[in-house]
Amino acid sequence: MVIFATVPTFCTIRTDGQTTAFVKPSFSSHPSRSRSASANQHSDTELIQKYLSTRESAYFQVLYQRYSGKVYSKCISLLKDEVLAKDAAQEIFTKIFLNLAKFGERSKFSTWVYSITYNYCIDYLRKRKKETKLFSSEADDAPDVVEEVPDTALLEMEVKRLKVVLEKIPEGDKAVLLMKYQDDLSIKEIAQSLDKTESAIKMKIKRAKHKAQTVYRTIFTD
Amino acid sequence: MANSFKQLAEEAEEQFPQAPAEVEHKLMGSVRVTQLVGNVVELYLPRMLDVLRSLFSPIDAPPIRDIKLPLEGDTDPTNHRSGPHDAERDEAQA
Repeated sequence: MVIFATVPTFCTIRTDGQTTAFVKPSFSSHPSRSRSASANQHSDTELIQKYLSTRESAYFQVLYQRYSGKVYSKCISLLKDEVLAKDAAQEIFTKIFLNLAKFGERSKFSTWVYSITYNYCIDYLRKRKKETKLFSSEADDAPDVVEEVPDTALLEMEVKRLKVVLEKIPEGDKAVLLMKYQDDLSIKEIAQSLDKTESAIKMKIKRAKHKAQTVYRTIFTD
Repeated sequence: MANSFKQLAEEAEEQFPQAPAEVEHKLMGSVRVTQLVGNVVELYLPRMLDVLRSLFSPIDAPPIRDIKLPLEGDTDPTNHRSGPHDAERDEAQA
Protein backbone atom coordinates (compact mmCIF):
# COMPACT_ATOMS: atom_id res chain seq x y z
CA MET A 1 0.00 0.00 0.00
CA VAL A 2 1.29 3.45 -0.81
CA ILE A 3 0.35 6.35 1.41
CA PHE A 4 0.93 9.91 0.35
CA ALA A 5 0.92 12.57 3.01
CA THR A 6 1.54 16.21 2.33
CA VAL A 7 3.77 17.88 4.89
CA PRO A 8 3.53 21.65 5.27
CA THR A 9 5.08 23.50 2.41
CA PHE A 10 7.79 21.62 0.62
CA CYS A 11 7.99 17.85 0.86
CA THR A 12 5.89 14.76 0.52
CA ILE A 13 6.48 11.67 2.61
CA ARG A 14 5.83 8.37 0.91
CA THR A 15 5.51 5.31 3.10
CA ASP A 16 5.85 2.19 0.98
CA GLY A 17 5.77 -0.91 3.20
CA GLN A 18 8.95 -0.67 5.27
CA THR A 19 10.45 2.21 3.40
CA THR A 20 9.83 5.86 4.06
CA ALA A 21 11.29 8.39 1.70
CA PHE A 22 11.24 12.13 1.18
CA VAL A 23 10.05 12.78 -2.34
CA LYS A 24 10.85 15.91 -4.28
CA PRO A 25 7.67 17.98 -4.44
CA SER A 26 5.72 17.97 -7.67
CA PHE A 27 4.34 21.25 -9.07
CA SER A 28 0.79 20.31 -8.17
CA SER A 29 1.73 19.54 -4.56
CA HIS A 30 3.18 23.02 -4.01
CA PRO A 31 0.50 25.16 -2.37
CA SER A 32 1.18 28.31 -4.38
CA ARG A 33 1.29 26.35 -7.65
CA SER A 34 -2.02 24.65 -7.00
CA ARG A 35 -3.53 27.99 -5.96
CA SER A 36 -2.09 29.51 -9.11
CA ALA A 37 -3.70 26.75 -11.22
CA SER A 38 -7.13 27.36 -9.71
CA ALA A 39 -6.62 31.14 -9.95
CA ASN A 40 -6.20 30.76 -13.70
CA GLN A 41 -9.95 30.24 -14.02
CA HIS A 42 -10.78 33.64 -12.51
CA SER A 43 -11.40 36.85 -14.43
CA ASP A 44 -8.96 39.74 -14.08
CA THR A 45 -11.26 41.62 -11.72
CA GLU A 46 -11.77 38.56 -9.52
CA LEU A 47 -8.02 38.02 -9.34
CA ILE A 48 -7.45 41.62 -8.27
CA GLN A 49 -10.12 41.37 -5.59
CA LYS A 50 -8.71 38.08 -4.33
CA TYR A 51 -5.19 39.50 -4.26
CA LEU A 52 -6.32 42.59 -2.34
CA SER A 53 -8.21 40.51 0.23
CA THR A 54 -5.57 37.78 0.74
CA ARG A 55 -2.28 39.46 -0.30
CA GLU A 56 -1.36 36.12 -1.88
CA SER A 57 1.22 36.78 -4.61
CA ALA A 58 0.03 33.75 -6.65
CA TYR A 59 -3.00 35.80 -7.78
CA PHE A 60 -0.80 38.62 -9.02
CA GLN A 61 1.44 36.07 -10.72
CA VAL A 62 -1.51 34.84 -12.81
CA LEU A 63 -2.22 38.40 -13.94
CA TYR A 64 1.44 38.74 -14.83
CA GLN A 65 1.40 35.55 -16.88
CA ARG A 66 -1.70 36.73 -18.75
CA TYR A 67 -0.28 40.08 -19.78
CA SER A 68 3.51 39.81 -19.71
CA GLY A 69 3.78 38.70 -23.37
CA LYS A 70 1.53 41.49 -24.60
CA VAL A 71 3.27 44.15 -22.53
CA TYR A 72 6.73 42.91 -23.48
CA SER A 73 5.94 42.82 -27.22
CA LYS A 74 4.54 46.37 -27.06
CA CYS A 75 7.70 47.52 -25.26
CA ILE A 76 9.89 45.93 -27.93
CA SER A 77 7.76 47.46 -30.67
CA LEU A 78 8.04 50.97 -29.21
CA LEU A 79 11.52 50.92 -27.67
CA LYS A 80 13.16 48.71 -30.35
CA ASP A 81 15.57 47.22 -27.83
CA GLU A 82 15.23 43.92 -25.96
CA VAL A 83 17.21 44.99 -22.88
CA LEU A 84 15.21 48.21 -22.55
CA ALA A 85 12.00 46.24 -23.10
CA LYS A 86 12.87 43.84 -20.26
CA ASP A 87 13.54 46.74 -17.87
CA ALA A 88 10.38 48.48 -19.05
CA ALA A 89 8.23 45.35 -18.56
CA GLN A 90 9.56 44.96 -15.03
CA GLU A 91 8.95 48.63 -14.20
CA ILE A 92 5.46 48.53 -15.71
CA PHE A 93 4.41 45.45 -13.73
CA THR A 94 5.90 46.89 -10.54
CA LYS A 95 3.81 50.01 -11.15
CA ILE A 96 0.74 47.85 -11.77
CA PHE A 97 1.40 45.88 -8.57
CA LEU A 98 1.83 49.02 -6.45
CA ASN A 99 -1.33 50.59 -7.87
CA LEU A 100 -3.63 47.55 -7.91
CA ALA A 101 -5.69 48.99 -5.06
CA LYS A 102 -6.23 52.16 -7.08
CA PHE A 103 -7.62 50.29 -10.10
CA GLY A 104 -11.18 51.50 -9.96
CA GLU A 105 -12.75 49.21 -12.59
CA ARG A 106 -13.79 52.27 -14.57
CA SER A 107 -12.21 50.52 -17.54
CA LYS A 108 -11.15 46.98 -18.37
CA PHE A 109 -7.98 45.79 -16.63
CA SER A 110 -6.34 45.21 -20.03
CA THR A 111 -7.05 48.83 -21.04
CA TRP A 112 -5.49 50.03 -17.79
CA VAL A 113 -2.41 47.82 -18.33
CA TYR A 114 -1.94 49.03 -21.92
CA SER A 115 -2.36 52.67 -20.87
CA ILE A 116 0.42 52.27 -18.31
CA THR A 117 2.57 50.51 -20.91
CA TYR A 118 2.19 53.21 -23.57
CA ASN A 119 2.58 55.96 -21.03
CA TYR A 120 5.81 54.45 -19.71
CA CYS A 121 7.31 53.89 -23.17
CA ILE A 122 6.37 57.34 -24.47
CA ASP A 123 7.75 58.98 -21.32
CA TYR A 124 10.96 57.01 -21.71
CA LEU A 125 11.36 57.99 -25.38
CA ARG A 126 10.58 61.60 -24.58
CA LYS A 127 13.25 61.70 -21.88
CA ARG A 128 15.82 59.85 -23.95
CA LYS A 129 15.46 61.84 -27.10
CA LYS A 130 14.42 65.04 -25.36
CA GLU A 131 11.93 65.09 -28.18
CA THR A 132 9.46 67.72 -27.14
CA LYS A 133 7.60 67.32 -30.40
CA LEU A 134 6.54 63.76 -29.54
CA PHE A 135 3.30 65.18 -28.18
CA SER A 136 3.77 68.93 -28.46
CA SER A 137 0.85 71.22 -27.82
CA GLU A 138 2.09 73.38 -30.70
CA ALA A 139 1.35 70.61 -33.15
CA ASP A 140 -2.00 69.93 -31.50
CA ASP A 141 -3.10 73.54 -31.84
CA ALA A 142 -2.05 73.84 -35.47
CA PRO A 143 -4.87 74.31 -37.98
CA ASP A 144 -6.42 71.21 -39.46
CA VAL A 145 -5.07 71.04 -42.99
CA VAL A 146 -4.63 67.30 -43.48
CA GLU A 147 -7.11 65.27 -45.44
CA GLU A 148 -9.17 62.64 -43.60
CA VAL A 149 -7.83 59.14 -44.23
CA PRO A 150 -10.47 56.40 -43.94
CA ASP A 151 -9.84 53.74 -41.27
CA THR A 152 -10.04 50.98 -43.90
CA ALA A 153 -6.92 52.34 -45.60
CA LEU A 154 -4.91 51.31 -42.53
CA LEU A 155 -6.95 48.38 -41.26
CA GLU A 156 -6.84 46.55 -44.59
CA MET A 157 -3.17 47.22 -45.25
CA GLU A 158 -1.06 44.09 -45.69
CA VAL A 159 0.48 43.17 -42.32
CA LYS A 160 4.09 43.19 -43.50
CA ARG A 161 3.61 46.58 -45.10
CA LEU A 162 1.84 47.96 -42.05
CA LYS A 163 4.80 46.84 -39.95
CA VAL A 164 7.20 48.74 -42.23
CA VAL A 165 4.98 51.84 -42.22
CA LEU A 166 4.75 51.84 -38.41
CA GLU A 167 8.54 51.66 -38.18
CA LYS A 168 8.86 54.76 -40.37
CA ILE A 169 6.47 57.11 -38.59
CA PRO A 170 7.34 58.90 -35.29
CA GLU A 171 6.86 56.86 -32.07
CA GLY A 172 4.15 59.20 -30.78
CA ASP A 173 2.08 58.66 -33.93
CA LYS A 174 2.72 54.92 -33.85
CA ALA A 175 1.62 54.75 -30.20
CA VAL A 176 -1.73 56.50 -30.77
CA LEU A 177 -2.48 54.31 -33.80
CA LEU A 178 -1.71 51.15 -31.83
CA MET A 179 -3.79 52.34 -28.89
CA LYS A 180 -6.78 53.05 -31.11
CA TYR A 181 -6.69 50.24 -33.68
CA GLN A 182 -4.82 47.44 -31.90
CA ASP A 183 -5.97 47.79 -28.29
CA ASP A 184 -9.36 49.44 -28.94
CA LEU A 185 -8.81 52.25 -26.46
CA SER A 186 -11.41 55.00 -26.74
CA ILE A 187 -10.43 58.59 -27.48
CA LYS A 188 -11.23 59.44 -23.86
CA GLU A 189 -9.00 56.64 -22.53
CA ILE A 190 -6.11 57.66 -24.81
CA ALA A 191 -6.53 61.28 -23.71
CA GLN A 192 -6.46 60.30 -20.03
CA SER A 193 -3.49 58.04 -20.55
CA LEU A 194 -1.42 60.69 -22.33
CA ASP A 195 -2.76 63.60 -20.29
CA LYS A 196 -4.14 65.40 -23.33
CA THR A 197 -7.53 66.73 -24.33
CA GLU A 198 -9.84 64.56 -26.43
CA SER A 199 -9.75 67.03 -29.32
CA ALA A 200 -5.93 67.01 -29.25
CA ILE A 201 -5.96 63.21 -29.47
CA LYS A 202 -8.47 63.23 -32.34
CA MET A 203 -6.19 65.61 -34.20
CA LYS A 204 -3.14 63.50 -33.35
CA ILE A 205 -4.78 60.36 -34.73
CA LYS A 206 -5.89 62.16 -37.88
CA ARG A 207 -2.34 63.38 -38.51
CA ALA A 208 -0.85 59.98 -37.66
CA LYS A 209 -3.14 58.28 -40.20
CA HIS A 210 -2.17 60.84 -42.80
CA LYS A 211 1.54 60.30 -42.12
CA ALA A 212 1.11 56.54 -42.30
CA GLN A 213 -0.66 56.77 -45.64
CA THR A 214 1.96 59.16 -47.02
CA VAL A 215 4.77 56.78 -45.97
CA TYR A 216 2.87 53.86 -47.49
CA ARG A 217 2.45 55.65 -50.81
CA THR A 218 6.10 56.73 -50.83
CA ILE A 219 7.45 53.23 -50.19
CA PHE A 220 4.99 50.90 -51.88
CA THR A 221 3.38 52.72 -54.78
CA ASP A 222 6.53 54.09 -56.41
CA MET B 1 -13.81 44.11 -41.36
CA ALA B 2 -10.17 42.95 -41.47
CA ASN B 3 -7.83 44.55 -38.99
CA SER B 4 -4.13 44.36 -39.82
CA PHE B 5 -3.27 45.90 -36.44
CA LYS B 6 -4.82 42.92 -34.64
CA GLN B 7 -2.97 40.49 -36.89
CA LEU B 8 0.24 42.33 -36.14
CA ALA B 9 -0.47 41.99 -32.41
CA GLU B 10 -1.16 38.24 -32.82
CA GLU B 11 2.17 37.80 -34.63
CA ALA B 12 3.98 39.65 -31.85
CA GLU B 13 2.27 37.50 -29.20
CA GLU B 14 3.27 34.33 -31.03
CA GLN B 15 6.83 35.59 -31.09
CA PHE B 16 6.77 36.63 -27.41
CA PRO B 17 4.12 34.57 -25.59
CA GLN B 18 5.72 35.54 -22.26
CA ALA B 19 8.26 38.11 -21.15
CA PRO B 20 11.71 36.56 -20.43
CA ALA B 21 11.89 34.49 -17.22
CA GLU B 22 14.34 36.90 -15.60
CA VAL B 23 11.68 39.65 -15.67
CA GLU B 24 9.28 37.46 -13.69
CA HIS B 25 12.05 36.41 -11.31
CA LYS B 26 13.05 40.00 -10.53
CA LEU B 27 9.46 41.19 -10.36
CA MET B 28 8.28 38.49 -7.96
CA GLY B 29 11.39 39.16 -5.85
CA SER B 30 10.48 42.81 -5.50
CA VAL B 31 6.84 41.86 -4.87
CA ARG B 32 7.89 39.67 -1.93
CA VAL B 33 10.20 42.37 -0.54
CA THR B 34 7.41 44.95 -0.81
CA GLN B 35 4.99 42.60 0.96
CA LEU B 36 7.54 41.92 3.71
CA VAL B 37 8.17 45.62 4.26
CA GLY B 38 4.41 46.19 4.28
CA ASN B 39 3.90 43.48 6.91
CA VAL B 40 6.73 44.82 9.07
CA VAL B 41 5.32 48.33 8.93
CA GLU B 42 1.78 47.12 9.61
CA LEU B 43 2.62 44.78 12.49
CA TYR B 44 5.68 46.17 14.23
CA LEU B 45 5.81 49.88 13.59
CA PRO B 46 2.97 50.80 15.99
CA ARG B 47 4.66 48.73 18.74
CA MET B 48 8.05 50.23 17.93
CA LEU B 49 6.56 53.68 18.36
CA ASP B 50 5.24 52.70 21.80
CA VAL B 51 8.65 51.31 22.79
CA LEU B 52 10.43 54.46 21.62
CA ARG B 53 7.87 56.63 23.38
CA SER B 54 8.41 54.78 26.66
CA LEU B 55 12.20 54.90 26.23
CA PHE B 56 12.31 58.65 25.74
CA SER B 57 9.52 59.49 28.16
CA PRO B 58 10.68 62.21 30.65
CA ILE B 59 8.82 60.69 33.65
CA ASP B 60 10.32 57.50 35.09
CA ALA B 61 7.61 55.33 36.57
CA PRO B 62 8.79 53.62 39.83
CA PRO B 63 9.04 49.81 39.81
CA ILE B 64 5.96 48.08 41.21
CA ARG B 65 7.80 46.56 44.20
CA ASP B 66 8.82 50.06 45.39
CA ILE B 67 5.25 51.29 45.55
CA LYS B 68 4.20 51.34 49.22
CA LEU B 69 0.60 50.40 49.89
CA PRO B 70 -1.10 52.02 52.94
CA LEU B 71 -2.18 49.69 55.75
CA GLU B 72 -5.75 49.84 57.01
CA GLY B 73 -6.13 52.54 59.63
CA ASP B 74 -2.45 53.47 59.45
CA THR B 75 -1.83 57.14 58.81
CA ASP B 76 1.94 57.00 59.14
CA PRO B 77 3.39 56.83 55.59
CA THR B 78 6.62 55.17 56.84
CA ASN B 79 4.64 52.05 57.77
CA HIS B 80 3.18 51.56 54.31
CA ARG B 81 3.76 48.11 52.85
CA SER B 82 5.42 47.67 49.50
CA GLY B 83 4.36 44.09 48.77
CA PRO B 84 3.60 40.60 50.09
CA HIS B 85 7.12 40.11 51.46
CA ASP B 86 6.57 42.94 53.90
CA ALA B 87 3.69 41.03 55.51
CA GLU B 88 5.97 38.01 56.01
CA ARG B 89 8.67 40.23 57.49
CA ASP B 90 6.13 41.80 59.88
CA GLU B 91 5.10 38.38 61.05
CA ALA B 92 8.73 37.34 61.59
CA GLN B 93 9.39 40.50 63.60
CA ALA B 94 6.30 39.82 65.77
